[in-house]
Amino acid sequence: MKDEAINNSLKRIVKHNINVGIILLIVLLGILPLTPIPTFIKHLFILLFMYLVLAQSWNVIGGLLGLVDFGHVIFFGIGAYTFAIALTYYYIPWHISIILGGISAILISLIISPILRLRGAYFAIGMFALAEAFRITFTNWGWVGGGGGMYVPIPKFSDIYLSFYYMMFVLSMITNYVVFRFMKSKLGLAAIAFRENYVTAHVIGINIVKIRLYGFILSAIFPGLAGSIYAWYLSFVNPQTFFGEYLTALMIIMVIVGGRGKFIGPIIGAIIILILNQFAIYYFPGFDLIVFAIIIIVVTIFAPEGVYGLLKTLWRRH
Amino acid sequence: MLIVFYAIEKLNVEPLLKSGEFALMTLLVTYALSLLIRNLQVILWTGDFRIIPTPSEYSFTISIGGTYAYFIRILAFAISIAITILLYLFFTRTMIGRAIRAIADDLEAARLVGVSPTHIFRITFGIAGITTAIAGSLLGMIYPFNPASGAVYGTKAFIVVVLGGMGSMIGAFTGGILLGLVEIFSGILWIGGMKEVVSYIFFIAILLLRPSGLFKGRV
Repeated sequence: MKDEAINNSLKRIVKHNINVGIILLIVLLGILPLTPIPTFIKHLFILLFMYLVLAQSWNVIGGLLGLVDFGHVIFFGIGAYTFAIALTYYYIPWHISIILGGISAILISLIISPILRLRGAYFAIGMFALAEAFRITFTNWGWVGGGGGMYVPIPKFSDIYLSFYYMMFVLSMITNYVVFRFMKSKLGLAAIAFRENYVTAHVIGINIVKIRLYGFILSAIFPGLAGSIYAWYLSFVNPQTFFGEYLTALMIIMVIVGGRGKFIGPIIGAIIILILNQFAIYYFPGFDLIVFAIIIIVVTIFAPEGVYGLLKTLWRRH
Repeated sequence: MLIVFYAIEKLNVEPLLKSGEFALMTLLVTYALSLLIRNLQVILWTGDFRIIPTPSEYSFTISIGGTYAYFIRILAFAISIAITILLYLFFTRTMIGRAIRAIADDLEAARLVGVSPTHIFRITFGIAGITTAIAGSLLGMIYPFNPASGAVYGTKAFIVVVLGGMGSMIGAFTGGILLGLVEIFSGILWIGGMKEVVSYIFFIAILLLRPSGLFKGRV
C-alpha cells in the first residue's frame, strides 16, 4: 500500500517534469542555432526536423491506421514540385508557395483517397504503384525538367541555414503537436480500436472510412510542406530524389525502428536513423541502404515494437 | 536456387508466421530483403545496364504470317507457356499442389486434415523463386537489365495476379497477356515512357472496381 502511494507520487513527479522537460527542450532547440555551432550541425538538425515530420506523418497512416504505405513519398514530391513550379514559373512569394505545396498534397490525397478502401498488402502495393506512376510521369514531363530535374531560385536570406533551421523547426513542432492531438482525440482512439480488433470496432459503430480519410489527409499535409521547404533548401527538384523509394524506405524504417503506432516512436527512430545514416554515409559510402535493410529485417523479426517496445520491457523488468 | 529461397523463407518468413499481422510484416521484411539484395548487386556488379548476349547461332528471326520475330523471343514465349502448363498440372494433379491450394483457401481446415503449413510455405516460396529466376534469365536475353529493374517486374507480377484474381491460374495467364497488350498499345498510342504509368493506373482502377479480379479464383 505504502509502496503504491510512493510509486504514484513518483509517477506524478515524472509526469510533471516531462512536461517541463519538453518545454525546456523546445526552447533549447529554438535558441540553439543562435549559438555559434558549426553549419554542419545546423544542416543535421534541419534533416532531423524533416525526418521527424516524415516519420510522424507515416506513423499516422502506417502505425495508427495500420495501413502499411510504400508510397508516402508522393506527398513530399508533390509539395516540392508545386513549390518549385509556383516560385520559378509564376513568381509567387515563397511563403504562399510553401502553403500551396501543402494544399496540393491535400488535393492529391483527396484524389487518391479511394485507394483507402483497399486492405493490407493491396493498399501497400497500390501506393507503391502510384508512387512509381508519379515518378515516371514527372520523369517524362518536359515542362518541369523531366528526369534531369529543375532548379529553384536560390533563397535570398542573409543566413540560409538559420532560416531553414527555423522553418523546419516550426514545421516539425506543428506536425508533432497536431499528430499528438490526433492520436489522443476520439478519432485517434477509434483508429486504434479498429486496428486492434476491427470486428468489435465495427460492432460499436466506428466509421472507419471517415477516420481513414482524415488520417490520410493529415498524413499528407505535412510531408507536402516539408517537401516544399526541402526543395528550396536544395534549390533543386528531381523525380529520383523527391519521388524515389529512398525516402519512403527512410520513413518506414524510422517508424519501425522507433516503434509503430506510438507517438514517441518516430521521434526515437528519426534520431537513431539520422545518426546511423550519417555514420553509414561516412564510413561505408554506398552501403547505407544495405544497413537500412538489415535494420528493418532484424527489428521486424526480433523487436516488432521497436526501440520503444524494448525500452518499455527493460523499464518494466527493473 | 531452391535452396536459397528455402533458406530465405525459413529465416525470414517463418518467425513472422507466429505474429498476428502476418501479411504486413512479411511484406515489410521481403521489401527490406529486396532493398538489401539490390544494393548488394549494385556494389558487387555495379548499377550498369547489362544484357545476356544471345549466341549468334540463335539470333535469327522467324517469319510468322508476314511479321518477323526473334527466335529468342519465341523461345521465351514457349518456355513460359511450358512452365505455366507444368505449374497448372502441379497444382491440380499432385498432393503437394493440392495442399498448397488448400492452405491458401483455409489455413485452419488444411491444418486439421494434416497439412503442415510451414513445410508448404517453404515449398511454395521455393517454387515461386525458381519460376521467377527462370523468367529473369529469359528476360535478360531480351531486355537490358540492372539491379533496379527487378522492382518494376515485381510490381507487374503483382498487377497481373490481381488482374486475373488471386489464386486463379487461368486468371494469371490471361492477366499477363492483358497487361502486356495494355502496355504495348498505350506505348504506341501515347508517350512510350508513360506505358508503365498507364498500367499502374489500370491496375489501381481494377483493384478498386473489381477487387476479386477479372476471373474469380476457384479451388
